[in-house]
Amino acid sequence: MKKAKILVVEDQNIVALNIRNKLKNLGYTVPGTASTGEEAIRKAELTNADLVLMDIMLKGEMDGIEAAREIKNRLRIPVLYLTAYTDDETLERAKTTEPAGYISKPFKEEDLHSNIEMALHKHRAEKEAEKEAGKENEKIPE
Amino acid sequence: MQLDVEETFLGMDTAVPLGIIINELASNSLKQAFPQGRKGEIRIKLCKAEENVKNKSISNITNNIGAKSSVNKNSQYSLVVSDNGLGFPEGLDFRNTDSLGLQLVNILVEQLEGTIELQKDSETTFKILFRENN
Repeated sequence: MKKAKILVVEDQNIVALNIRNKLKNLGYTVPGTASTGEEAIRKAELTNADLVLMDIMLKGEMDGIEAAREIKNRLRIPVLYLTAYTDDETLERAKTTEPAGYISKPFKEEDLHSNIEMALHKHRAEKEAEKEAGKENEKIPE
Repeated sequence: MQLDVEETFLGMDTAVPLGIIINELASNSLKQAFPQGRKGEIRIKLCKAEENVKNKSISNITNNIGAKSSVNKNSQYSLVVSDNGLGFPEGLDFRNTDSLGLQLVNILVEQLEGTIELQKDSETTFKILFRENN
């Protein structure tokens, strides 16, 4: 199977470098990193990423949750949060974007790996189901 | 070690990366530039930069008139770390090395949205220009 492409969104570059290296060790490719919400949306679209790892606290006006909403709704790319925020308010806001998961920092490499695999699998399964549903719908008018 | 540092107040988001940059560059100098008891000097200089981007600074100043705190907002700074040791290796691109220290320096400069230059003459000089904004 081809390596999944994962976009890393993180405003602290050392942390981004660390996540990137971990992902590479796990056998994923990282087409890029972004440090603002706007950059994240642009790069998600440009690189056609399979999954976005999203920090919530970002540089600039837009935070990770707003960026995730756009990426999920418009680009239909699953988003996995990776953040130090675990307060109820943030969780509630994050929920409304229907993320693929939520990992709190500091994280373990295994947690990252299993969460990414589940997210990718779920997204693929959903796509398949959609395709099937599409076929069914096509049949109806016949 | 010679320090030439203006008294400046920087926000945490600038000061922390800057501290790591200085640490990495100075320890590189210590480790690489002075083998076998070679004597020399490391200089660290931090000052408000002479503006060569005058227009930008003027617009920033006008933008800041209404700001609550006027302490050093949006001004450009220059950080220079230099040594008079062996010299930076020929044929080595400091922007693209296996050295973790230099990788950190580059990505932190990028995080500060600053620029970094290397001058190789009698001294090895890293010059970093950055802006304090928040």
